[in-house]
Amino acid sequence: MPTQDPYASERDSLLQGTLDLLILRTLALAPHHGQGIARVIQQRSGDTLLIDHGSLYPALQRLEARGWIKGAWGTSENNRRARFYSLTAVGRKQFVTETGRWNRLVESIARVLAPELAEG
Amino acid sequence: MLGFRRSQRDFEVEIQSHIDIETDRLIEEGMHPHDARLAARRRFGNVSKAQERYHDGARLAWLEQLMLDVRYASRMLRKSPGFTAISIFTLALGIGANTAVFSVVNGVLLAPLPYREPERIVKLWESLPGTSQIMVSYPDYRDWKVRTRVFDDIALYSPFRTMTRTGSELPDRVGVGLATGNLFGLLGVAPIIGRDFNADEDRPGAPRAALITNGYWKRQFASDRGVLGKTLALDGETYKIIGVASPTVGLGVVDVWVPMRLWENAANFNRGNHPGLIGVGRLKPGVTLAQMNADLSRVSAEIRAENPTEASGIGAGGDFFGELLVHNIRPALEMLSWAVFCVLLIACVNVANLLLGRSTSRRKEIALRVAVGASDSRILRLLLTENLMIALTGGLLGVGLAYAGVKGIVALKPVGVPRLSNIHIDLRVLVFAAVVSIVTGLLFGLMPARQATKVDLNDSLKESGRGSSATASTLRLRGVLMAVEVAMALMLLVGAGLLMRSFTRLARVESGVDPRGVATAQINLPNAKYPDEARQRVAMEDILRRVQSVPGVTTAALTSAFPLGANQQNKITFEGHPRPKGNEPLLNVQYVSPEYFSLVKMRVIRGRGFSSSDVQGAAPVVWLSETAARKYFPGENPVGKRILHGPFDSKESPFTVAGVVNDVKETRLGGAFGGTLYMAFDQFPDNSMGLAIKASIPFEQVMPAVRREVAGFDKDLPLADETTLEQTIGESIGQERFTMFVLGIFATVALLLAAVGVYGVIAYFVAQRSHEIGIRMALGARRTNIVSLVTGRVLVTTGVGVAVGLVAAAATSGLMTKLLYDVKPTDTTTYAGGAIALLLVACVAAVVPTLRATRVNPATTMRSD
Repeated sequence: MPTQDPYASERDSLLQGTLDLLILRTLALAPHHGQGIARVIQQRSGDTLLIDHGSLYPALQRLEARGWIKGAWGTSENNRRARFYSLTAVGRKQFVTETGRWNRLVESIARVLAPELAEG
Repeated sequence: MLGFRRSQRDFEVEIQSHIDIETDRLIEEGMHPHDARLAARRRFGNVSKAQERYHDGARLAWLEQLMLDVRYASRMLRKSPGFTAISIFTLALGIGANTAVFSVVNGVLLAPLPYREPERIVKLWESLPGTSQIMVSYPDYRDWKVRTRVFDDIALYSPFRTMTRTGSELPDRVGVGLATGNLFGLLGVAPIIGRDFNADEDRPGAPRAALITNGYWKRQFASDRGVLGKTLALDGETYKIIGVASPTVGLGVVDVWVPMRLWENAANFNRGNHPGLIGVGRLKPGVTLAQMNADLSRVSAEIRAENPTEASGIGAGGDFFGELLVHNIRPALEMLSWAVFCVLLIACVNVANLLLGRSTSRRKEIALRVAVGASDSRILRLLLTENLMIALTGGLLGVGLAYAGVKGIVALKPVGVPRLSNIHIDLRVLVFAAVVSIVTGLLFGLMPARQATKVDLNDSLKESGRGSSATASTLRLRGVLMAVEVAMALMLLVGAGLLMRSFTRLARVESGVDPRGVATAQINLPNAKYPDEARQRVAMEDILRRVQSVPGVTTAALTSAFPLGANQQNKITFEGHPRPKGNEPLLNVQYVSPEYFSLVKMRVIRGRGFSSSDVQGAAPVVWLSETAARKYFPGENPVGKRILHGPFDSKESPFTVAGVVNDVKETRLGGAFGGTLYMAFDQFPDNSMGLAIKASIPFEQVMPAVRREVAGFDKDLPLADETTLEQTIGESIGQERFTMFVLGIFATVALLLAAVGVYGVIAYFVAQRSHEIGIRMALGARRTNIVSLVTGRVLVTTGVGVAVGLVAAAATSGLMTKLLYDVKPTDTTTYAGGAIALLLVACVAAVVPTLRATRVNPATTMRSD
């Protein structure tokens, strides 16, 4: 396990948690290559989430390094050589945890926002 | 590092395939292949950047993270400029005060003396029964040199002479030091230019050579290297300048050093005389002070045995040179160091308090960060980065304050602080400031940061910052901090109060003379031109008459010493009360002209004042101070008694006591009266006298005319050391005034910081309770109830702080003992005053938040729920 995570910087702190979750969610359905993951997220979010590829690949590296996903070279639908990512068993468990955590966060944020709106 | 790493090539291939797939898709959607490739690239973003981020990431992670932390922290600090500014300024005060005091401690106490192995250098003196330190007799020194066993070498110096330099434009008074030829070699300092005295120069009758000091070289010769070989005319003798001596410390204020043995055959260089000579020794390695003193005692016993008359009762001793230099200032510096440490702690507590106040609003932000995956240690590091940035900025500002402060301290020229020129902000001081800043940042930041990371996610996000257990504990913690702050501020306040009380008492001490409107100056007749007493008498009295004739001068007098100045001390034998040989008391002896007593308003208590017959040739007369009269003629009327200058078998003719005059402080206002004998100048003239002048118009108008009159008498005669008696007396308590002034500043700062702290806590308390207050008021509570609720809180917390502070002040008051005059370190009035002052300040600081509490609108608070 890495003792230090080079990408755990403040810049993507908000995105980091969510992006990881989105990747896990995408791969939970089927293995994908990087471009595929970006496209799926974009489509599923109704084109609201445009994935910054500069963040996507570091995120993939990170998840792979943590052993949550694993990558293997394969061939794409267009006969292009591409690196396909799939969820590991650990990753699948993590996906469940992260989803729970996310739901709690959303709920919490909603609670935070609510009284303040009332106050104004 | 990452556990595994793919090759850069592998990563590049993956990115390339991503772009290819994207391009394929865009072409499928009908885009031109060229445009599709460009669009795919554009959409991917910066390829090389992505690669860099991947590959350099781990290597630069540490630095990158630090920079991100810093950037983030500065963003957070900018968001709350009020908090940031107050914190930085508070810490700047604390760190600045510590840095300033440390630079003084560093320059005065810590920096080694500029000598070779200074820890082996000692100062030596002699003693008589009842007088622990007297100057060294030259023959005794010669015996020490031969007979002692613990020294590598012993030297003598005497920094007390002033000579008149002629030959330059205006006659100039020059501080002349006598030094045995081995003095500088013993200290281990070589001349800046030129050479040291050689053996041929340090002997009686040698060609006269002089080493000038660095300061004199700069001042008089503009540091011209061509000064070597030039001559100096001092008191009519010509000295050849052989070198410029390195700056020395602790050897007195000297312009020119000349070899001591030129005076070896002078009358006062005999065994029984102690003519202002001070010993300097270099101990052999490993020799202790006790061994040295034992060795000196052994030699002194031999000297006594061999010279039963002249050396009766003589002893010898010494102490380390460096220790003697800082002996007087050390207690003050130690006390001030503790004081500024307290100021810094108060500053830390204040900032910690501010941080705790912020932690409520920060709690939600932090919870959010934790929620999106930041670890506790990550949050802790972020908060600490913020705190360290505050501390370091405060430190930087503090160094600026210290720089100004040190400049101010040096400019004030505090009396009694040695090595002033050595006080500056050097690397050591800067390192000290940096360390203090970092430790400070950790100190004030750690507790609030820990408090902040102890968040329960759900709880914090839900809580809108009121009434929860977390806020209650914050309030409790802030209350404790406030009490600590109040306690420390009280300690400083008590310390400053004690010094102030002591100083007022000291300043009110009667010196025994009326210094108002008395100007003073020195006249020194060169021995070459005025070699005998007769000529000195005529010259001095002529000068006195000329000065008395200056328009505006009402009276003028000659005196060999001024109050609180150095006095000549002689052995005296009293008729009817002879003491055993060697046990004769040492008394201050002062020679004055007839006008002196009335000029400084000294009172004749018994007998008569000066009469016109007290002149040369008439029976010698003497006046005793009250203390001398009481001590040596207990229960008798001393008028008409006779006394002898010297031991009972002295061959000098006896003096008759003409009267008793009131006591005058001889050395220190805080010191006891030693006893003084006053004799008539006309009967015992001298070549070096002080001039006391009283004028009916301002001195600035009188003194130029006085100078002209002196020059009119002898154009080569300078008037030196012009000052006023009031100033001399004021300067004599300069060190006490300085210590009080500095501690006063620190205590004021502490009090202000404590007030800010109290304000912060009470404001927070009111904000927390506004809901409760609203309900109370809705239920019909009156404003007075609310005020007493808040005031109760203030008094409880401050009261605890005051109680702790009083105990702590009493416990540490031992530090003050040496600094106080006529005030006990546990002076109850001061303690009570300090406590009351603090309680008052706390109440004032709480006024605004209390008023705010009473203006709480019940409707608003109720609605906000």
